[in-house]
Amino acid sequence: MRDMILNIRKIAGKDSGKLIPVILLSVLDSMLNSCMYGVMIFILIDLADSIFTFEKLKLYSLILLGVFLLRCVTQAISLSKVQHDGPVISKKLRLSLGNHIRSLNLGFFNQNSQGRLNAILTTDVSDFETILTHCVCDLVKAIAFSVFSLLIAFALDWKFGIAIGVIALLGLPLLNISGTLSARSGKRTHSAKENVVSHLLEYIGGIKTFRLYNLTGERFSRLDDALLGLKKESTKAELSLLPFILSFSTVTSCLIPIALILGAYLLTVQSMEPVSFIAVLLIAVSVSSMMSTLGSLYPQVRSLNRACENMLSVLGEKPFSYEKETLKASNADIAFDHVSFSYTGKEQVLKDISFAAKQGTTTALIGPSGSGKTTIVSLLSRFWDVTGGRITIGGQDIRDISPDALTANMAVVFQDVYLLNDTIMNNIKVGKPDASDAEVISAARSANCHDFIVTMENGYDTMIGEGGSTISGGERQRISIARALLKDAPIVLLDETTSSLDADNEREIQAAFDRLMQNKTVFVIAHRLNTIMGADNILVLNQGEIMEFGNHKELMRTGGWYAQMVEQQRQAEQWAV
Amino acid sequence: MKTKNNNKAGVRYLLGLANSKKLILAVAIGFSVLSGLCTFVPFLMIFRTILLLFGEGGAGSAMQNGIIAIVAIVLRFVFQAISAAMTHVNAYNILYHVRRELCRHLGKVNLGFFTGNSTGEIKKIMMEDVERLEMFFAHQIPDIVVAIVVPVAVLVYLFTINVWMSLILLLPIVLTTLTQVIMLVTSKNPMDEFYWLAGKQSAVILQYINGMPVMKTYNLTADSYREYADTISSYNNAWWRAAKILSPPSAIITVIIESGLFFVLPLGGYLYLTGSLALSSYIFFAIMSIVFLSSYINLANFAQIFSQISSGIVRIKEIMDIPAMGNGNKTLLPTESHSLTYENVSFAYDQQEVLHNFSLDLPIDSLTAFVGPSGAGKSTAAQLVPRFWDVSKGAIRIDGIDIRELEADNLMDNMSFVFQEAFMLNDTLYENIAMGKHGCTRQEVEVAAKSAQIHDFIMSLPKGYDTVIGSEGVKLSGGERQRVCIARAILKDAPILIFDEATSFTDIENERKIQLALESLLESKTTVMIAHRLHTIVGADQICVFQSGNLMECGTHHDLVASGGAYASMWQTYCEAMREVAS
Repeated sequence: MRDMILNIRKIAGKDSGKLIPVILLSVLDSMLNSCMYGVMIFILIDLADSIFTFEKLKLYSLILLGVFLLRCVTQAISLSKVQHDGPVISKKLRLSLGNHIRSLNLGFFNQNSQGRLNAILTTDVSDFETILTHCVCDLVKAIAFSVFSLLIAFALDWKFGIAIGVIALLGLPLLNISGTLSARSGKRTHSAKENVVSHLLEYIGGIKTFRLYNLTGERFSRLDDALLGLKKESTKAELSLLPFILSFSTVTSCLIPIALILGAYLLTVQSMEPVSFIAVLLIAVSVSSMMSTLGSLYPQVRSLNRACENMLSVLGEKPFSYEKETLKASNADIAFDHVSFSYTGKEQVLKDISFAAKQGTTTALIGPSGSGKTTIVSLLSRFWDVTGGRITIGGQDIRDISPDALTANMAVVFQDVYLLNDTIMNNIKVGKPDASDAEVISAARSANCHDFIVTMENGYDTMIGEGGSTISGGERQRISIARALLKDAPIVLLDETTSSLDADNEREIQAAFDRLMQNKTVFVIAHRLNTIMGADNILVLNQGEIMEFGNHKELMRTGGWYAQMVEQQRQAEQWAV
Repeated sequence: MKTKNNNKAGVRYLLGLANSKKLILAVAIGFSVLSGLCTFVPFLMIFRTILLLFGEGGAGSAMQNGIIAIVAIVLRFVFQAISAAMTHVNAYNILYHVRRELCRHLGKVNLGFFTGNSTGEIKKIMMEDVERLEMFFAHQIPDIVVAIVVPVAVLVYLFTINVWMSLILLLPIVLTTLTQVIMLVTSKNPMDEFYWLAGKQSAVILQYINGMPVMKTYNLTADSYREYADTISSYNNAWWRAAKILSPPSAIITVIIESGLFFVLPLGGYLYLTGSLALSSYIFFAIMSIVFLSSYINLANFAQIFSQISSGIVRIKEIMDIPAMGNGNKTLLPTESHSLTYENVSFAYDQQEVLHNFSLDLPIDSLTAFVGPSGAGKSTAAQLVPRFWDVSKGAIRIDGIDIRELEADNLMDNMSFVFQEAFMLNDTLYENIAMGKHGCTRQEVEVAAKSAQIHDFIMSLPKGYDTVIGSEGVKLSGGERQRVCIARAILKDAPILIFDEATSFTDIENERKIQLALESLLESKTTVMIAHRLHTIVGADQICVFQSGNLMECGTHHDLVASGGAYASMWQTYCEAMREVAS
């Protein structure tokens, strides 16, 4: 409860004040609700004193009607107000979260964090919104009403007050335990679900392969095990909660019989009026029903807290710091100066790497998978910051340059080509938003995608992306090259090895790559002998260290790993089945 | 009307899913009803005590009544616990069953299904739509039975006490139902708009986050933020437009449900004063008015939740209704070599024919190359063999047996297929190779890896064969992945092999190794090789040239070059391109 208030204040800031009138209205509504019970008690007293008449009935009925109408008005106002102010708060929250996410550095956006951000911006903010607009009022009402009833019970007989109070308090720890348990089992169920999803995606992605190896249905035991695991965790989660939820309900429901027994006892010792007895029963009934409302609201308070914590954790992510807004270097020479890097802090992915690339030259990165090629390119575009040494452009440490200024000078073509849900034209225009259509078409021609685009139903206006026309991996690749061509940045970072395998169209893709690399400072993770032989420098990496460095001729002369590789390639060209 | 039919079919289908578990469900519902009836016992005891108090008869003492009430409460929750435990265990069993059936079915349907449906959609059905069934089986069925049976039972009892008072208790229910109907009608348009914008908002958020890397590389975050912000604002406006209409009536519904006393007290007072209602009954009805209506709240959301569930059911059913590929009963020995024949084969995706009536013989242990430009149909022709799709006309035969007459498993046992896009499990390299043969030994895996020229690379990794590949682990290059797939196929050692060559141009680190790997794989197999680099297949037993779905010509390299047809010109272009590359 306290956490909830603190979290709402932390998340909503000044706007949390908007909730105060709503809360006050809810308290007022509870008071009015208690008034109805008050009328009932007055009727009881009159009945006991045998002074209940038509006159009185009329008066009481009028009071009830008044209270009823007043409640309708109060409720309507408070509900409308919370339905207006709650979403305004969540809207501001979505905007500020979105704006903050925008400032985070590129390295933050891996698949994992994207999944998390998506979940937070959709599920968590919606939960927050729903709870704010629906549960806050109910919660305030339940609590206020219980407090009023308790006060009346005390006024009638302090023993009843204590009995009802004690029982209500007894229930709370049970509620708390069930909340903690449900959070814990919720986590386990969630990870079981994620396990199913990852194996399901694997199953769908590899369905052809699995069919060929007769591994479909339950024979694909990885998925079947995950499904069984999910069943087990879900069942366990529900069953482990049952005793606590039910004992909470039992305890709070026992308010009624306890009032009955205690009242009967007090009646027999003559220390209580029958009217008070009935009034107390009435209070017990209403408090017990309010407690059960509280019980059903409680899980939502928990999930509100969870959502708040998730949102706060995103707001707590800090973007990279930088000093200079723009890149003012005399040239685009790039130098790695004793660069080391580690993702985890344990395993070194790059170990003390030093080399330089002059402006306008091409550097080819080669070496086996896991040797650190991708890391070099990622560090250069500041997905991450180096853990040792420094990277400079024109003598300036890239950590001093604003990320925007850095990316403005780079064109990057990597493996995962993300297409917006938009037309092909706009997808290419991403490279240069103010480009004319003619510029886009010329970039598309150079990237060898013009031809396939014009054969599509609506040409450049064809919608692509999720839910749009499907295009092949090679075609996506070429669109991303067209983007980069349109951007025309002085530094180009490329990954050839993971470029989509589309053997039929490979020549087109390669030609597009070649055009992109012309007259630029290029870093390319290369796999074509052509690219490599033409590079000014070849950097052969192995397990995070530079094994060989030089141009094709120099490396052939040294007769190392590279020379062997080229020799193998020569053999390969002779091969036939 | 249509949705109504869907709902009905949906319910029947749902109960069909429960099938063998219906009995458990029925018993669980029985306990729920008992528990629901127990809810009212304490109030009955209050009534009896009041009767006692006013000297109007009634049995037992207040103390007894209290104890009966406590027993009833404990029983109520014991019954509820039994029922909840049963329904949940049952529901999660059903969920597992449905998911398993879906997975099994997905393994049998025509592969066109996967091109027509995004992975995201399938995932949504498997996870979210199926998950909602839990709501139906564990909560809705018992809840609705209880929500109908218990109030009716109580009402019958109340009628025996006083008809008029019972009727006035029904009045709030009538009023709230009317208000709800009015709400539904007046808010139809704003609600539709709201749901539409809610959907759009999720899509925009998804794009905002997933597109962020691209937007950042191109310094476009301000633009994408603007779109994001606009959508969020319009969602917010739509919310308010709907809420403005809905808030007052729903506030009134809440007040009506909570104001049982307002209805009961005046009428009761009048009836009491005119002598047609006992004092004790008056008080009893007042107390009942507090609890009777609150049990009605559970029913309020039922319709909305149910329509969500049933739209999910429709989607589940759509998948299950896709006809599975037929299964034959003939078998072939995977240890023997087989011939392969295409006999007047035509094939169409939906309406569009992509392969036009061709015939082809692949003799035992021969090597046939499929060549041709992109989209010519060579990959499709190859993918008909493992029945990823079935031919539209004609037949494909192995040793003369139509592949549709073979047991599906047996067909697969007889064939290996190495794809261009190598598929990898997110698991260890060992598991990735071992999936090639059920129950293989560690040694067999290593032998296969050695033949596939991938063993040395694997051993160079820090954890060797236990290295996990994929999202969390080491990423492999395309060539390395293909060699893993070749190792898998070597391990399987099936008599028919289809190989889709991955690259047409030189890949410095892998090409030679792939070739060596392929040599081990090709030994004594009936092979189809989809080739992109013509010089590798000059020695093939026959080369088949595909062009726009037609099989143009077939023959050895020598014959085809000599005949001066399609292949001859392809060969010429290819040689020029290679010279260009070399220079």
